[in-house]
Amino acid sequence: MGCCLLAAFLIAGVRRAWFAVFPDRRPPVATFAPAASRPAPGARLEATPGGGAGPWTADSARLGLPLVAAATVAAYALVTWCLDLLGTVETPSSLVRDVALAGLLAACVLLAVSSKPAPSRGNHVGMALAASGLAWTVLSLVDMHLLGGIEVAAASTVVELVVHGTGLALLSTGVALMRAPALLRGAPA
Amino acid sequence: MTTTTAILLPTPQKAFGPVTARRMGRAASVYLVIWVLGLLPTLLDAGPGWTATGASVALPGGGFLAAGHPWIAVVVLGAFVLSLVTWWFVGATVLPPIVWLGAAALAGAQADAVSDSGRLVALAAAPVLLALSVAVHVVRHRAQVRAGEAANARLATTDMTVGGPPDLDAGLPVVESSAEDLARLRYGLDLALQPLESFEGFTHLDQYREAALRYQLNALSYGLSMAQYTRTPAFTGYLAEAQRNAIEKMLQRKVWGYWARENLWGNLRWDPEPVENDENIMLTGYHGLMVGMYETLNDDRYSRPGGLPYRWSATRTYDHDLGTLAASIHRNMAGSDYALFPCEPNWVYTVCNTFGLNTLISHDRLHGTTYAADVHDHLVRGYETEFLRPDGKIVGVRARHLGLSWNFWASPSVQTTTAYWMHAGMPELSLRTWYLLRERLTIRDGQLQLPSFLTSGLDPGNYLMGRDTFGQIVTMMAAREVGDEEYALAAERTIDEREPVAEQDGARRLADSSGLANHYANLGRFGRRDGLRDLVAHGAPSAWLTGPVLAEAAYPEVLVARAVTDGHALDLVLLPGKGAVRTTLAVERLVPGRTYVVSGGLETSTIADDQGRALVGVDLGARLEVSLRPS
Repeated sequence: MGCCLLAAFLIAGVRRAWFAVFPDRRPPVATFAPAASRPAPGARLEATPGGGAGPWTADSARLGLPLVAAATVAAYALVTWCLDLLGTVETPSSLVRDVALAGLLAACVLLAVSSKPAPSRGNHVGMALAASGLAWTVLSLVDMHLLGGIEVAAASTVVELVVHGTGLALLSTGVALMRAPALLRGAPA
Repeated sequence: MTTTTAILLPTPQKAFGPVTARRMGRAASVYLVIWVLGLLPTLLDAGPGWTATGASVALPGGGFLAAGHPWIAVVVLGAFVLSLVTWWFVGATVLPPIVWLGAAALAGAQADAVSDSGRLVALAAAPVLLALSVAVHVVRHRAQVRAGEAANARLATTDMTVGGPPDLDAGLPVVESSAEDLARLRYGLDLALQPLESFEGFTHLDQYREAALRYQLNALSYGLSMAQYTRTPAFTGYLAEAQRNAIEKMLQRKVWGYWARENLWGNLRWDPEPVENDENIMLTGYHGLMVGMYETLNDDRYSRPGGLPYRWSATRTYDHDLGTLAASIHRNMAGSDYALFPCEPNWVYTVCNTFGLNTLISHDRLHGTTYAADVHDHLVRGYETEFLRPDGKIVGVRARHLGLSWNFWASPSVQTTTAYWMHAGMPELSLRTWYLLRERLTIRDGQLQLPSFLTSGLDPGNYLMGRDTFGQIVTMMAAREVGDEEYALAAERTIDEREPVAEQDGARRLADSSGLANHYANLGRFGRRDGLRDLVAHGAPSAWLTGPVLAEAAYPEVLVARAVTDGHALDLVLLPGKGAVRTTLAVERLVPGRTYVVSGGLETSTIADDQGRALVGVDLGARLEVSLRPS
């Protein structure tokens, strides 16, 4: 306590800016605990209310698909940017492509922060991976083959696998995780 | 023995303390080797790839600068600074090297050509920046030396009184809580008395920084202990149970499990063991003090072997007790050339180490060890030579391996908090720090004006800015502790007149302040001159430890405003907490079989059973004095 006031100050600055933009995202303020009760000597204790979990409950793990999409777009942009730097792919119209990716990312982020994500059912990790894989696959196909945003500099299976295979790997892993419990039980999900 | 003397600032010989200078010299040498390695590709004309890599080794992002991508270089440098901040926040030591080396590899892989000017700037930037930093430090140091000389001139004419041990045989002051005091206490009691696994009403933001659950539990427990010490030393009951709950909530993995992650990304060790290491005083020091305060007036259950089982999983527990916590702190202080040792991996904080010292002092008093005496001089030397600016401001943090600190760190809140917590073990330093702080305080229209500072409006318990309530609270704590009651009352008045109060089920709290701030407000409210020092360093009169106690009472029906014993009789002042009620009190540690005269009860006398226990009925409708005296 008190030892890290500047760190707290920096966190405070970020939080203040965030809540100025999204005031309804402010977390519940800690207030009172449920009124405690202890019996007199020899008396029986009445059941006390409360005892539940704090503000961070299972619902806090709700899955936000726009957030997954935003993370996927950012990761895809980073990977292709690195491939470009390594010279294994080329981006003929890099400025337009960068602006388009930034716009897509911004749209996903705005969608993520402005919507209340619905509680997800089932396997959160599997669903996130599957959604991310699907987004990656669509994005890479559109980027490379529909819009010509990137071109493989020298025919390379490895680069093709990185660009397209990553999405497919994520998708299949996610689906497998979602289906795993049912498959293990030998029953349909 | 009470001494009155002038307490001067030490006169610094050099711009850095000796240990800090050694660490900085070592870090500079390592960087020099790295820089030479970065220069080699240029000297050997090794081609653009290796040259860009070398430039990036010399300066994070430098390779991109050399290769003609200045904006990417700026982004990489920004990422590197961000990684440093993250390292500082959560002890993730691995992050800066990953960013630095990763950027170097990437720069080397993409570079087709390098420019001479870009390469020159990349190679020269870091040495120039380092030289500039040293020059700025030297200039500032000289100004601080002059300020220190001026402060010493004032300090030389100011006598400060360092109190000696209190006369325990004559008893310690025990005052009566007001209805408002009890309402504030109920806020803490309700939080602590909920089931161990429940944390309703606590702030849940992160488990690394000030808003972490552990700091809320520490402050909660300290406030409850201080209330017991200064108001109701002869009342255990639900007040002691609340302290036990706070101590035992600390044993839950959700509270202390952060250490496993910090140890992994800070030290590259997967070992959740929270005590047997040379860091993490942010747990051992704070938790040890909670236990030390509890044990002073209650029992020694947490000093018994395995009394503090830190539960990691259903099958793995790290069994500790007050003794192993104190031994760990003692070993680490004795083995550190700074004397102080880190909280997060690598980061040494001055205030955290005062909690460690307070744990040692408590353990020595309770169990006859000499841990604090062993490290005292070493520790004072560390504070005075390595963590004190020439102008008397305490340096809040320093990197253990690099020796670096942040000069803007010495904010008033850090100073005030440290002055409070060091009063038990290093009272001279505490009094001198407070004196220098007080020079910047003003009382206007009865209200306390704090000096403006970057962090003055911050509540570290919820990371919200805009109110200086936390600063007022820690000023109240420190001023009251060192006996400057005028300033303590001014701070208290400022809070009372300005801050809205929320109430629920008879419990009251500052509505716009965090739980942490409210707990420290209670610690200040229940404090007194030398309250912390007496509780930690001197303990309780023997009469308090052997005389009758109020061991059970209904909560919240019976609120205990005062409870004290002279070793034979028990005097209570009770207030109703839930309307008029007829209820029973259980008194223990009476002489078995002895008859006691009761005043204020339903009966006029009672006989202690063979366990020394007796029940006393009372009609509680308003303030009620109850006493039991041997017939």
